Amino acid sequence: MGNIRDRVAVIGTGCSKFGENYNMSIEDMIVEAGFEALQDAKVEPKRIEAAWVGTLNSAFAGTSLGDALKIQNVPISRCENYCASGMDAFRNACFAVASGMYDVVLTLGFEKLKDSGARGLASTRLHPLLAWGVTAPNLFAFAANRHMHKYGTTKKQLALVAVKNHHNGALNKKAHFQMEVDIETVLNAPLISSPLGLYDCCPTTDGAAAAVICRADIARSFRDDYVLVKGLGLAVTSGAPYFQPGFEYDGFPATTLAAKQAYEQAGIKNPLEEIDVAETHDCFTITEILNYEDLLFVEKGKGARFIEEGHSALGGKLPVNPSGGLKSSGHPIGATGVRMIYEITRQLQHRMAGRQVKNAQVGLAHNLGGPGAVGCVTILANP
Amino acid sequence: MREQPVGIVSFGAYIPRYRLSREVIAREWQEPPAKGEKAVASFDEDTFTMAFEAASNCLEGLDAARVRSELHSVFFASTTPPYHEKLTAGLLATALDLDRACRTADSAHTLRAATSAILSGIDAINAGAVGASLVAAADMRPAEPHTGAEISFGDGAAAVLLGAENLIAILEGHVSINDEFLGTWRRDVDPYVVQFPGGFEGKVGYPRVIHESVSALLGRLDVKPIDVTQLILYSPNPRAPQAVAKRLEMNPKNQLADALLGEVGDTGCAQVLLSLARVLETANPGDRIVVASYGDGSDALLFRVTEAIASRRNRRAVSYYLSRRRSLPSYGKYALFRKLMKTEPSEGSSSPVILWREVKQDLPLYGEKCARCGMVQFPRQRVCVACGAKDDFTDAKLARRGVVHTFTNDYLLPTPDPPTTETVVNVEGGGRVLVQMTDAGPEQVRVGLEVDLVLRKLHEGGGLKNYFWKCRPRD
Repeated sequence: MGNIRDRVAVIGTGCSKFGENYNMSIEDMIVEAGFEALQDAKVEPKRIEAAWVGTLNSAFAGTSLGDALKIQNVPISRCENYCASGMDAFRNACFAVASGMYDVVLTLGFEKLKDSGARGLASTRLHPLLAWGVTAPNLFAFAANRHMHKYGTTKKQLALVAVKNHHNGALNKKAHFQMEVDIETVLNAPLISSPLGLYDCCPTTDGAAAAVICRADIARSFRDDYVLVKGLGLAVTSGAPYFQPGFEYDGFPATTLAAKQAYEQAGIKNPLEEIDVAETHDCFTITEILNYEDLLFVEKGKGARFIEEGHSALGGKLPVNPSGGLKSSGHPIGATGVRMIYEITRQLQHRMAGRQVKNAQVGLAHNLGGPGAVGCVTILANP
Repeated sequence: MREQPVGIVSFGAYIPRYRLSREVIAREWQEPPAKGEKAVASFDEDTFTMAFEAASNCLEGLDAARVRSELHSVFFASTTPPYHEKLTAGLLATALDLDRACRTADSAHTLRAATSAILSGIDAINAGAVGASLVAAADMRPAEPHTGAEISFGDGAAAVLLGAENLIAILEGHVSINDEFLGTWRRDVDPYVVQFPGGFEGKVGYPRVIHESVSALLGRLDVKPIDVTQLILYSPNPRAPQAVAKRLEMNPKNQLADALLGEVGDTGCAQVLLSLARVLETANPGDRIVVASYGDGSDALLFRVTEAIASRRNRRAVSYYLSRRRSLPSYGKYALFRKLMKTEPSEGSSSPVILWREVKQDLPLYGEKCARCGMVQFPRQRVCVACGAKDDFTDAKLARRGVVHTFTNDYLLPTPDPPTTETVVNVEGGGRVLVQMTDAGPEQVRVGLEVDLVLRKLHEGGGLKNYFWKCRPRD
């Protein structure tokens, strides 16, 4: 098997305002994120040889990207892999560059959720009976209740994730929410899907994010502070764990499997010591606690203590979600994985001002799709 | 014609868990308090789901292979079937996993529907056409708000298995009377049951016809009124059958069976079968039981209980369900369950094609067992989830009980009874299902809770009844 390490570089990143973008169309958001990334890379649109675009269901095909940016007559593929659509688009683009087929490639993810008035994501299983009516909050609440039962994790510990990520989000002008919340507010919020209350859930958000990548050996011709792709992992487990005999529901093995692939490629033996900053998929507060365990930062069952002891806070041992995560940035599905690449790249470039993680050299981005079924992990590092 | 006796092999009943206190109804309309409560089908129940649970209880404990080889006749009796055009007896036979070579018929349009079905079943057995016949009756009649009918009508179901062997009660004889009478009716355009005002039916219809059928039955079989252990009369109200019993020279106090009006309500065509189930739960060998229905005439049947009753008494029937109740907190909830108010439609879609293709999986709840590694899995797969073997399975009908592995209470899904409790259940004997919990409050669910799987109406998307399994705490 091959290794992606040091073969691809990120040379430009962009991100639209995330939020209830009632005044923006899909085109507006793609143009905002796409051109920011192109300008950041100092690359003209005509220099793009191929593109990968990620969206769950806001549009179809490569035309969604090409028509907005007028990047046309080149190969553009649309990638859909549940909530990991964006990072998987990035991942496929990296492999295309590493293959030697293309030198400069654009990846972009977007989602437009607020035009429909939907309050959240419904079940993706299109069946009249099986898993009928099941929502995204349900799928993660199953894990929360199991984790609480098995390891004694408390609602208060879940709330700490929301408090931390709201704090970080308040430092991020592009985030959906820029507001601090206190623990009482989180604990007293109305229930959405027990034990998850309103503040345990990420919002439904519009947004787009983009990254320009190129062959590592030509990266310096674009900029000095490029960032290298060190590892890319993707694992797909059953999309119906609720029918899977023996699925424990105290975490998501797809995350661990993807992380192990990425760590091996990057040569990471001890993630907690070797990673300086992480963006992980906190679609719900419980998910971030599970991520600490599933990404092997801590042992299974110790995730709640990791947040409680402050290790994942800005200034902690391994700051997680300095952007505010999905919780505060919002979760425009296809955009999220690319937004994480944007955040980690700029953290490694030390461009994040108020939320900058000191001396960050190695970063991790983790995108999770479906009922914990699609785990995608990217390791980025400075040259 | 068979020479040997025919009669009842087994029985079962079902009463919805939700009960509406008559005090709550009276308070809603600022009327003087009324006594007792009535059983109310939950928003996910209808006459099919109620009849299915009663029929399942009736067949419980019998040799399944023998049932399949002998039970070739199913009747569904109701004045309130789920579909005006589409068979419910067939749905019952499918969900009960009976042989395809099964006669299926719905008996409808009158409160006599259940007893008429029993007589048809008996005739088929007598003729040697079938070995056994199942009659499942259920009703949930629509009552106009702020009327006596609303106070009186309740929901419920009961079932009897008829046959010629292992009888717990022998049918000694029967009489049917046809009597054209307009006392109670409901046209297609009527949202509620219509009753002709005043005492016409109470004075002229009911007492005359039901007395005629029972006295003809006793006369024909030469049975003295004193020799009837229990007289089961369809009862529109508590007083009417007492007058009939007296006129029949029976003692209403100890011979007239409880019609369950106080605790369950008038369950329509299922009422006499529910009473029969109640009586059979405590019957002794030699007891003589008269069952008389009423509606456009009357059917009267005389049963004699046999020694075999001892082995069949102990089952889920009336006493089981009477003690398992959950109060409807308000009239508003009842109004929502019964769709008495207009609400925002949120039904979604369905696919008759998928329902057809997966009927074996979704109604009798068949999963599969891998022939290579033994893993039981649901839904049905082509490739084993555990060992990857392709197309190497045997059928595995999932058990009807399991344990909650994890759960959540969902407050967003539109439902008349929020929150919706979603559970991941490890089924006893293998297989895992994702099902909603029903007839329970959010405080009842927990990891490790033991549950029964019950068939319910999941939704009406696509303009049809989408039936699927849910779970209910076992208590």
